[in-house]
Amino acid sequence: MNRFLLLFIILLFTQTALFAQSNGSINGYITDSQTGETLIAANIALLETNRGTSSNTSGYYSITNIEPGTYTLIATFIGYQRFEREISLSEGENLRLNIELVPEGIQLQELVVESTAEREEQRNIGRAQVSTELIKEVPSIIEPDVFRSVQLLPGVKAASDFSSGLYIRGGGPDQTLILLDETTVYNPSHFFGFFSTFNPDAVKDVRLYKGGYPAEYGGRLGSVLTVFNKDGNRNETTGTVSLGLLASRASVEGPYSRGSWMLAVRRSTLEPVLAVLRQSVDTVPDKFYFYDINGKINFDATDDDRFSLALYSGNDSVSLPFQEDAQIRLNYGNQTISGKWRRILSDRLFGSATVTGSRYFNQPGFEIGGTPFESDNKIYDFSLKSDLEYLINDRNTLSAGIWSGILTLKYADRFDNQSTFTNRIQSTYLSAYLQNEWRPSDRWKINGGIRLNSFSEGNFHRLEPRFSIEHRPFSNLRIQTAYGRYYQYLTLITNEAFSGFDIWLTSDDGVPPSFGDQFVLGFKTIPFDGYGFDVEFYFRTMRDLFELDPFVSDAAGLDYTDLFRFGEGYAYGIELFLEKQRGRFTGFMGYTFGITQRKFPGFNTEILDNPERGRFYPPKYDRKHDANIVATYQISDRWSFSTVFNFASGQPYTEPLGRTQLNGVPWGSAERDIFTVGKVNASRLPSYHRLDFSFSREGRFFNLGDAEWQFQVINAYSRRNIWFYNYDFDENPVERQDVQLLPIIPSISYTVNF
Amino acid sequence: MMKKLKILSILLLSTIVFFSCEQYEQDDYQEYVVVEGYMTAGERLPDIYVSSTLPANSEYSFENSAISNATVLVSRLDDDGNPEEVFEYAELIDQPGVYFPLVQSYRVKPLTQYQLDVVFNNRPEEIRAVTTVPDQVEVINDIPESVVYQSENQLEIVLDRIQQTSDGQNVFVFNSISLDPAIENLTPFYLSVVEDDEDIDINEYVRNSSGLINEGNFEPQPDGTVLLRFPWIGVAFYGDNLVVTLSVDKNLADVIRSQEVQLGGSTLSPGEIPNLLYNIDGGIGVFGSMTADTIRTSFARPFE
Repeated sequence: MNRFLLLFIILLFTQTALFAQSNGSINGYITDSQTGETLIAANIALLETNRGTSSNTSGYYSITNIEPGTYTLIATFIGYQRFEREISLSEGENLRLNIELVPEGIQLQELVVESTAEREEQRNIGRAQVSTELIKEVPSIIEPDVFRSVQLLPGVKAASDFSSGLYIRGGGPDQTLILLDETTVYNPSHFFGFFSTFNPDAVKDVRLYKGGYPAEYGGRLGSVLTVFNKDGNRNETTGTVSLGLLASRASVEGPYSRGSWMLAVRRSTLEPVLAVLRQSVDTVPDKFYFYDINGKINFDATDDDRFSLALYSGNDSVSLPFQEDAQIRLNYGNQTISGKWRRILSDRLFGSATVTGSRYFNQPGFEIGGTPFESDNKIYDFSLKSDLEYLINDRNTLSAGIWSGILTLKYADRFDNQSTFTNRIQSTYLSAYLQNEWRPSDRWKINGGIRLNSFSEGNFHRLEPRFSIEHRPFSNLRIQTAYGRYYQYLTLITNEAFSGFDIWLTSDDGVPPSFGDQFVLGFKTIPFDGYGFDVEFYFRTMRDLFELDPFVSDAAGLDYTDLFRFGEGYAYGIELFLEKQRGRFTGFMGYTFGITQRKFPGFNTEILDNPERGRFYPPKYDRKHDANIVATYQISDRWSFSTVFNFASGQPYTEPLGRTQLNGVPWGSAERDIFTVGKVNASRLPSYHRLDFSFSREGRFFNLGDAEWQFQVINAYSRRNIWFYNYDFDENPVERQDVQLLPIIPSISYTVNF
Repeated sequence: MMKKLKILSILLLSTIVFFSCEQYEQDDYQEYVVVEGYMTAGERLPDIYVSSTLPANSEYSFENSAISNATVLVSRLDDDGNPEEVFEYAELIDQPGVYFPLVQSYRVKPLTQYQLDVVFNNRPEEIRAVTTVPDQVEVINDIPESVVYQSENQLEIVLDRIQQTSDGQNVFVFNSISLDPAIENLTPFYLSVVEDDEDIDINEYVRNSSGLINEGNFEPQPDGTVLLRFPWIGVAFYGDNLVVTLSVDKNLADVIRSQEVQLGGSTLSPGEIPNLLYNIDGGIGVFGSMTADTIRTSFARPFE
């Protein structure tokens, strides 16, 4: 491991003469002229040579091997004016050109230049992007939410109205790696899963790799969601304040002599609502709030060196007395910190080194009848990562990186003031990747890579090949395919209904890592100007899945392997995505047909069968058909309208078939009712559909800044979708009750930008 | 181009329709034989209840589901698992489906295997289950006559060292049985529960249990004994109580821990209902065993 580190540090810090040449090059950062924010995946090209590139996640671009001469450099990005400048390069010249793109106002929309490269980047195989504008525009419950917006994409499902968890291509929430400024976030939720921790005021870029993701990422079986926070405005100090009924937020950002900074805070404002409820309802929390703080500071040390420090801290806290002498308390949250150094090593070599720290904790506690139960679970993840991007020549871009860290998980349970369970798992992990993008011609793009990873707990070492090919037979059609193998050393212990108690467990001796293969085939077309139509097929396997055995009621004294059930699964599906990209009326329609299945020996067996057998069954979040329509219409300069309609076929549930009772259990006073079931999750709930809409009106706030009213209605026709069925054994025969999802919810918010 | 698009669309549609066909259909109700019996060390052989399941939407009572005319046998097994002693059962005349041992003098032995066999004249099922009775639990400390509720001095129980069975660690249940079950004797938490819910009867708390607790929760003393403090949540009524310490076998622990999460409360998603862990061949239910020791004390009101 140390040799790997040394190699990369040497590579990172060494300016080498290997790259010297007679031809010239041009490189630099591409930013927003108003805010100075770096722009990711902007398109940069030399008009005369038909050569171009796009900026990386640091906003850096580089075009090399340019013959001496005079060229027209153009840069484009969605929503920005086209940049065009004549440049002259002499022999061997390395021209540093930082480009500032001027954003277009909405009133000039017809003049906005489209960036084909960025559109294509967003539509690479298995990839999707959610703009921060969309996150804020679409109707949302309580707060605009990154995850709720991501759930609108084909291939991504929501478990319920109450869950912001991401169920992507048949995988559960723990199969998606979530990175905030390159730092792993272990429980990205507020309100116990109702919405995500990411503050839309602070977020700059959200990218989802749904599947078949490249070798630069790893650690999860399914997908990767990367969220980058804003760097902060490099030109002027600006801010925004948004007041909502249940939560409010404020942010401020600005420049200083050597860079920029950003601070965004958000807090629930439930206290007045709770105070009103206490007048008429007994069981109202004493305390119920969440907050999060995002901060970032950038330091431009030299033309070649940029440093940034990003911080996040979020916390949810509730205290609820529910009977005389009985109380439940829960405190959970995340903190992350990342320090990044970006360095332009040469015109061909760009590097970055990042130090990350992530902490997740949850501290649930009950006190009932004088008996306390307390739990204190923590995760600490400290890591160092380094990435290099090397332009070998016009046709090849080589990337390499290393990510190493120490993961510590601590668990402690106390019952009746006595320690009943403590455990500490500490593992070092290391992964390294190497990948090359080869563009043999304008019609072909081939990306091959390999990722090596190791996990010290259990002494596992695994190799993950990744591969993707893109062929462009016509200018408006791209055919893409990808394959990858993925390993996962962690499993999430959670409940779909409530994520405040989430804990993670790791692989270990006797608990091998899960692994799976993914195959993806995609067709990306431009049927008409301004439209995009994509089709993707996927198939993936999941092997050696390890999950907490649902029948383990008490972990004390059990061997680590006895905590788990081990199984397998698979998923396949088709995703269709039609997007209208320009004009007053924009939006998209997404449709997913998906199947996902799991099998765990001893679960879903026939009652009289060998208990070690098991049948495949669909998990609760499986929906065969899932369609979303998202539309935004700019009514006038001041008014806009947006709507979301979702239709999904019913989720599976288990139909109780028979019943009996145990009447003689020698403790307790009541008989115990038992259902017998056949196949688990073989019945389907009624179809789910919901319409949300919102109107926004822009204006001014006492000439101090721009302001926006947002009026929205969630579940406009109050469809009472069913979450699950509950069974009341107090009635004989048993009574089945519908547990419903959200009713109609109107809300209003007011935002001021100054 | 249009022709190609048409072909692609038809291909897509056909694929979706093909894969949409339901291949995992809901199965129908099937009736199972249910047996229930609990062996307690030091006590006579238990009655065995034999019944059948009923459809989930039907009205349930044991009488409606009882199965008569079964042949019920309980055998004591030797170390190799062969029957060493066989006890015959007969059906109670006034309680169809309830079978009692013809030998009333036999006492169940700890650390011994017993096998239940049930067969029928008119049904094809053959039911078999085996239980290993845990080691005898014994409270070896002096128990105070009275303990002040929620005081600093909790009721302490010291269990003598106890041998583990081949099923692994011992699993305990603590059960308090009130000898003064009146509403004015309810402790504050249980009183508020009863007052808040008209459907709850105080009799539900007369026998109040801790649920299953693994032996691993308790730090053994240097001499191998186990010290535990009886949690206040176990006290539903002030006044005289019996506190029963039970050590239960795997069959009983399995069926209870799976029953308690069948309708939620675990990592299972809402609506995902599993069958229970029965450890019975040919049917469902429980054939379990336990050992128990009982102490008596009085929980006094604070500041009384």
